Amino acid sequence: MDKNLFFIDCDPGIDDAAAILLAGADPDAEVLGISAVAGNVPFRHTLANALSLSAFAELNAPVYAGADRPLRGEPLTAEFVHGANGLRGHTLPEHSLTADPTPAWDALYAAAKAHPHKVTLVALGPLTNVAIAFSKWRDLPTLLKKVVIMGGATHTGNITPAAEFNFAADPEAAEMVLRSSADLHICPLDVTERSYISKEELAQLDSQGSPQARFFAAVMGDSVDHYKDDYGVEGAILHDPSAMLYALRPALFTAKRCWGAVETEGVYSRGRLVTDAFSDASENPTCTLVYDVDRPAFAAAILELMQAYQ
Amino acid sequence: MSKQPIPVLLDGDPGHDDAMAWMLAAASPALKILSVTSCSGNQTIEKTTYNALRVMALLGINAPMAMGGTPMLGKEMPVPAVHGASGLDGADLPEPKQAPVDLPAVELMAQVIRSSPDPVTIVPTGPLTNVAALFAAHPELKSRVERISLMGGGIAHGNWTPAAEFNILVDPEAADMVYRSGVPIVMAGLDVTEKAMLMPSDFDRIRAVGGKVSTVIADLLEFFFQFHKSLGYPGCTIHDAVAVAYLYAPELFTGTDMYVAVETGGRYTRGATIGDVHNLWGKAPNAHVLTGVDREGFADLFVEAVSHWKED
Repeated sequence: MDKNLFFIDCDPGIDDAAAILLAGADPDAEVLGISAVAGNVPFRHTLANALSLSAFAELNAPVYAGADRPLRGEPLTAEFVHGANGLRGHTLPEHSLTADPTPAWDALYAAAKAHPHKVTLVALGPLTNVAIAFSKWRDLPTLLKKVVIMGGATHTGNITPAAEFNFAADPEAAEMVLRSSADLHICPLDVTERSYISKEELAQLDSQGSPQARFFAAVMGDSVDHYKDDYGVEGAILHDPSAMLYALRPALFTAKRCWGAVETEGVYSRGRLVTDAFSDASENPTCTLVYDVDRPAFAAAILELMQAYQ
Repeated sequence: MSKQPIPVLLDGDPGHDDAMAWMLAAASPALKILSVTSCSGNQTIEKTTYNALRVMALLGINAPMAMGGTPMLGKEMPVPAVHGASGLDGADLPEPKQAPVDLPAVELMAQVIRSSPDPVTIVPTGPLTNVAALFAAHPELKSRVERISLMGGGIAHGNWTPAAEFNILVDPEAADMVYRSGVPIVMAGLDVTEKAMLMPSDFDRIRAVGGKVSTVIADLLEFFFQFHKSLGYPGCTIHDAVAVAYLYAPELFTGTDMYVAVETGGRYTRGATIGDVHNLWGKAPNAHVLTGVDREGFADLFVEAVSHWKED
């Protein structure tokens, strides 16, 4: 059987790290490339972490450098979640990978051209790289099989009351991507905040014993208290792994077609995902909104996938 | 229980659900209606004023009534698809028994607030034009308003646009002024009102009570349901009635305190209410946002209320 082909754009980031480990663990997935973008932490850290993760997840996929800042304005970061180095101070093993000289947007296009309508782009950070790629290569949106995006929130934001971090970090890029003709699958906070792993499940993961399982459990376990205080969840919320598992195992999730856009203006709403998914108002559908997950099955899938590591 | 009734000022754009809200208010001994004012919303200001007087005649509301204003910026946006050409289609309402007083709504509200020995509760069930103008013209009266129990907005989503609920969308600047006013707000937004439904079986229970009001309310519900049915609802959402029901039956509702801001700009979000669920702004809450309702208990309120006019 042909493997499912993926290209991962990310800003690691603790939950990006966990998501990449899941991709590396899936025997049915082949990752053609990983690109880094400024986001959770400054670009030099996200690029370094992407390289370390390509090696650590045993993907050894080429890693491409992308944008070190959003399309407009200054970078927005979230060290209060991800720590100064993007991995809450944890370190990954030494490796010999270096960044490929091809820019992220050209590498994504080359991958799509080489495998027309076969590559799923999984975008886990601000959408700067993707927006540049779509802007530069007009046929790219429809050359991709689909685009799975972690970003946005229909109900309430996490970096502002209106906006989720990835969309707030580059609202123009997000709006450009949402206006594209790609087959868009958006995983907003609505679903990702329900995609948590309990303390007990993290302990089970840790006891699998592989360096990758122990790293996943440690890096996500650090944030358990934050999620309990702010979200009332007894565990760690796994934003990017939620989007990654939607890409790998869509049957665990509930989704619906809807119209979606990203507010780039407004007094309070810059970066807000606006959809008609739950409104009486209705427009022509432009994307698929993933809004719920079978949480126990989600956690079980993570535990099962991570057993691939020795 | 010998508690004093809560003095309330009704301000709305009737509208089927405004009429239902006012019916609950008129029937409840826990509330005393001090004045009624109209605003532009579901229909033009002329039509909502006429409808307000007809509803007052039906329910025997004995209070002064004044005509209110049109949106501060932007145009009137009547919605005949929801409420009919009259704004209150589907029932045989009596003609008005009184004329509006010769004062703007804002001045009637100011007079009533000044002369009330106790702080009042304002119940806006339309766009917030009049309340915003009241606070702008008479800021000293804010301290005489105990709270505002309003129907408007939605933290999770809108209904007239994907982002905005109708009442806020019609006059976002007015809504912004009211949410910033410092007067405590109970927000009956779509988060709760879309769950506050009367089902066709409730229409029958209401009609079975008998009397003039029971018939009119049941007829209004049957008409209002046509619109809801077209959107796929199994019943009628009685948005505005939540703002009144909460005042005398708070045990039927659940909610959360938070800071709520009104978006007045934006390409897609004008008129959205942004709720700071995680207190990222660190501001003191300005609203008690209702999110849940005991639907059956809510429906029972209507059956009890129409019984008040059983012999008419």
